[in-house]
Amino acid sequence: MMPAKLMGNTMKAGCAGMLLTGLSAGLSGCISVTAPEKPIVIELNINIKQEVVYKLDKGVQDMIDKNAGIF
Amino acid sequence: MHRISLTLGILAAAALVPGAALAQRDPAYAAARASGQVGEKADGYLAALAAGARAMVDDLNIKRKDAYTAEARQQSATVEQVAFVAGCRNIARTQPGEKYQAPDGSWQTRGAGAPQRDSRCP
Repeated sequence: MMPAKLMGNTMKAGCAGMLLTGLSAGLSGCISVTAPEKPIVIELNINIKQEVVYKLDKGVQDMIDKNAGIF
Repeated sequence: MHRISLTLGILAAAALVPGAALAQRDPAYAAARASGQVGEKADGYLAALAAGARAMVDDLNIKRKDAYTAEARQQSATVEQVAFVAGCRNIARTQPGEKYQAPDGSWQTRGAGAPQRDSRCP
């Protein structure tokens, strides 16, 4: 395979290494795999389906209206 | 004329019936909402944003959880699911100046426009 020193620290350098050795003929272009700058933060960690939300909505509105003092 | 005053009398008496207490916010709670000392969380519960509001918030959250639990039992859903939908509605009901939690967890002040809510909210 390719000597280790031809591989860079990123996948882009690895693709460059492949081109140099001529293995890229017939293969598609380089794939760059880098993580996004900031992590995606999801604070509300609940797995709820949209259909459940619609089913519950009317009852929840009635419940809030009946107990308006605590809402 | 007599019928109108009779009707008004009955309505006034009905407002004093116990149980109607749940229909109106406690004045201290209303004031805390207006001054931003309590805020609506996205998960359906309140947060104390000032130290003095902690006891009030804990009390209200216990009552909310009871209401969510009863509703969940009626709807054959989980308490969490009911609380999530209630959170959507609670945030929609905030008045300008009140505090609520946006989907990214940050605290926002409600303005004149629509609040930021989870994309699954109805």
